[in-house]
Amino acid sequence: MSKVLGFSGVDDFCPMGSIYANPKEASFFLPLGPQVDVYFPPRKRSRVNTPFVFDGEWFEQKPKTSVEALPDECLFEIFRRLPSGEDRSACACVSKRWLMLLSSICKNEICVNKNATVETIEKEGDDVEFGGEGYLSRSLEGKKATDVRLAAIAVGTSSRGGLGKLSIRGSNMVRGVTSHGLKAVARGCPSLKALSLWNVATVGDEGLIEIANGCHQLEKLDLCKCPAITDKALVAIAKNCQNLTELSFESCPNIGNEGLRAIGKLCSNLKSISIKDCTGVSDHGIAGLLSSTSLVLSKVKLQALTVSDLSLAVIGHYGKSVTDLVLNCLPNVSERGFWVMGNGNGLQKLKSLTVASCKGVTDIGLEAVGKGCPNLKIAHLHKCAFLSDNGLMSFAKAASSLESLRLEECHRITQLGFFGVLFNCGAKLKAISLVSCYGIKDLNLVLPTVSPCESLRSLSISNCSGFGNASLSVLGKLCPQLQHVELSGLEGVTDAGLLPLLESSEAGLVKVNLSGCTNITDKVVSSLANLHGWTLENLNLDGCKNISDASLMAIAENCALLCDLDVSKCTITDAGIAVLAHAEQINLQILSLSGCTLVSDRSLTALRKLGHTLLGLNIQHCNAINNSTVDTLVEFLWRCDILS
Amino acid sequence: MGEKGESSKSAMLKHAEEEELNTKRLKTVEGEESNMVEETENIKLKTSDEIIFEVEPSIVKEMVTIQTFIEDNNNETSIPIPLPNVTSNTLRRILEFKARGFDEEFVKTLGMDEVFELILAANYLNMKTLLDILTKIIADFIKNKSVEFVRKFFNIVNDFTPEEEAKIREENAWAFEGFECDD
Repeated sequence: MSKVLGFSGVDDFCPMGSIYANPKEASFFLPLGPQVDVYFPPRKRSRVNTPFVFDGEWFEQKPKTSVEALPDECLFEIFRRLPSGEDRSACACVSKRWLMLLSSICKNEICVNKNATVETIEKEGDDVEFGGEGYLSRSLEGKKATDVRLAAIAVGTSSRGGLGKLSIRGSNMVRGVTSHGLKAVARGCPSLKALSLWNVATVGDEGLIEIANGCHQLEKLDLCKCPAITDKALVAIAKNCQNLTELSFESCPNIGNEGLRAIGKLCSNLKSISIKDCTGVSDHGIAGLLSSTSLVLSKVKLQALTVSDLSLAVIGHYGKSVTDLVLNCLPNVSERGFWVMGNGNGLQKLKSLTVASCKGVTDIGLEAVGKGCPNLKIAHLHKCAFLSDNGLMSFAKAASSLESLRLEECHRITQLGFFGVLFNCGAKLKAISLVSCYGIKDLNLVLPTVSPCESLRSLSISNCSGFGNASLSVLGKLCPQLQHVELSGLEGVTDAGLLPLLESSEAGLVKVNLSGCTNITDKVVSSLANLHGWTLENLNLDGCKNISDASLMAIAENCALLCDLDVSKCTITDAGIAVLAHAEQINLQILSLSGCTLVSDRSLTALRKLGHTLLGLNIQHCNAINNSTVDTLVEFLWRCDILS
Repeated sequence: MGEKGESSKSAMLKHAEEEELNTKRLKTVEGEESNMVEETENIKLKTSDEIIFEVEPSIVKEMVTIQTFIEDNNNETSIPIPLPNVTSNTLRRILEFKARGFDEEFVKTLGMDEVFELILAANYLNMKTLLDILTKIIADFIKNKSVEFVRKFFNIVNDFTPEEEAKIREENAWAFEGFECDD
């Protein structure tokens, strides 16, 4: 029987009136007149997809009035008697009004079939648990972020595992996201765990309060540039979402101390908080937050706030569980703040400290912090303009557990301070990094005999143009156990400085980055390959224009473990590539030849050979390689990511 | 074969007669009762088309809107209570329905238009049981129907933009997978 006649019927005669809504239909399937009784046996039901087909049910006439005449509350009553998520999803596609009404149904409003046992429900393919476990995640951006879309998500995800993560970035200019959309999410997605709202000016407290009321399992909340959200919403969230573990607020001018205090008081599971550029937040808020949640709060990030020394004092005293602390751009914090924080003795568990653009980081301040944080392992100091060599050295001495130190744009530091750290550091210092510290100048130092720093494994000096050969040779003697060396953008470094470093290195070098050291030659690479070929895995010679095929030959001969090679802008030719390809023992995974204008199509065979193991190949700006060669490469090296 | 073979008009007349009979029956019952128990008086309800019905208090109790109105007015029952949103036909149907013990099969003999009228009235009068049954019937009707069918049958305009509709269908894709339910 065709689908058209696939109706379910009552075992009954047709009551008076024409069977067919449209009398023309009669001629479609039965040669009978309009006023005829027809017997309808019960049939297997299938989805009716065509309009006006008589389906044997009792509403044979299309209604003249529209169902739209029914008020919202009546339609709502109808919808909530659809226990199957599929039916609700289908109805959601009918019109905007139906969608919005359906999205406002919450879990306990759905009428489950009272007589059905669990087994029958599963058999019928009915609902999984409404709202599910929160397996799904959705992300809306820009003009796709509308209330309609949110309502669709709320209805669509509720019976298919539930929405766990929602992120909204920006909002449609005309029909943007508002509290209505969030309300739909709040009703339909009770298992929501993570919510992120960026740049959504149209969402206000109402929306977030709905979320607080509906999504009690919320764990992560991230608000950025939401000017319409105030403390009122935060208080609601604090009251209702006891599982909150991570909070992040950025550029929300109307969030302030009251909200933070409520969070501090009520969110006992809070592990991580980040507050950036919120003009409403001041010392009272931070104090309220920290003095209450001290038990588990482990990550604190305060950036671009008007807080003063008081907040740091609070952190120093109450931060008993804090392991990661970031203080960035706090103009009202002075030396006293850091001193008090260090002396508060509360930061016993602090492992990682990042301080940037805080004028309070002076010698005294930093030393106090070093003394007060006995377990500090990682310290990043950025733009600490007042920190001098002495302060740095005292810090290194005090922070005996320090493993990694990074200084960026600390222009008062000279190489005295740098070497001072190496002399004075604890036995655990593994990594040191200097970035853009213009105070470093290459002076000839006469060093006392000191025992070398055996613990240092990683050295990185980047863009400190004053760093030169003299310092390098000292380094070589001082740090024999280096494995990672990065000397990037150092034009003052030449072979004379590097060769001694390579020679004095006792442990094998594993990663070497000499990008931007334009004055080094093949001799360095030869030496490197000879001395450290047995451990070398990564080599970066980007921009070293004096490097030629000779280096590639040295590498090919010696560096069996090499997997990442960058020779961008070097003077290498097809011959070099060929040699590299010939080396049976090398299994390169990443190769960059960007800007090597002398490498041409003739290298195709060699590249294909190398390509057996390659995962990434960069041949951008290789002007001598034609498009057809590139295409061939792409075709043959299908496992490899090719940039061209 | 009886009524069922007749033409619509005479059938309707027959129906009207039947209803009159029912209402009279209700009244007679009330009449008997009032002889026995003097306190309970019938409540007078005036529909939008100016027809006055005398209804038993027990029935009126289900019409929460009216019951509240009566209680708010010190149980003053002598003046007919106006129901501006309910026609006499609708009220008659409701009483008939009630007399038949809210039999679902009865609803199935009515047209969809009339069911909507009943829902509107039940909503206005705040009659929970009636609303329950009627909305369940509509919900059952909507089950397993396609979106196009629902729109056409109920005269609903699709006010989604093509992009919106595409997104919603995508989100609710499982509902369109040609689902056939087993018997």
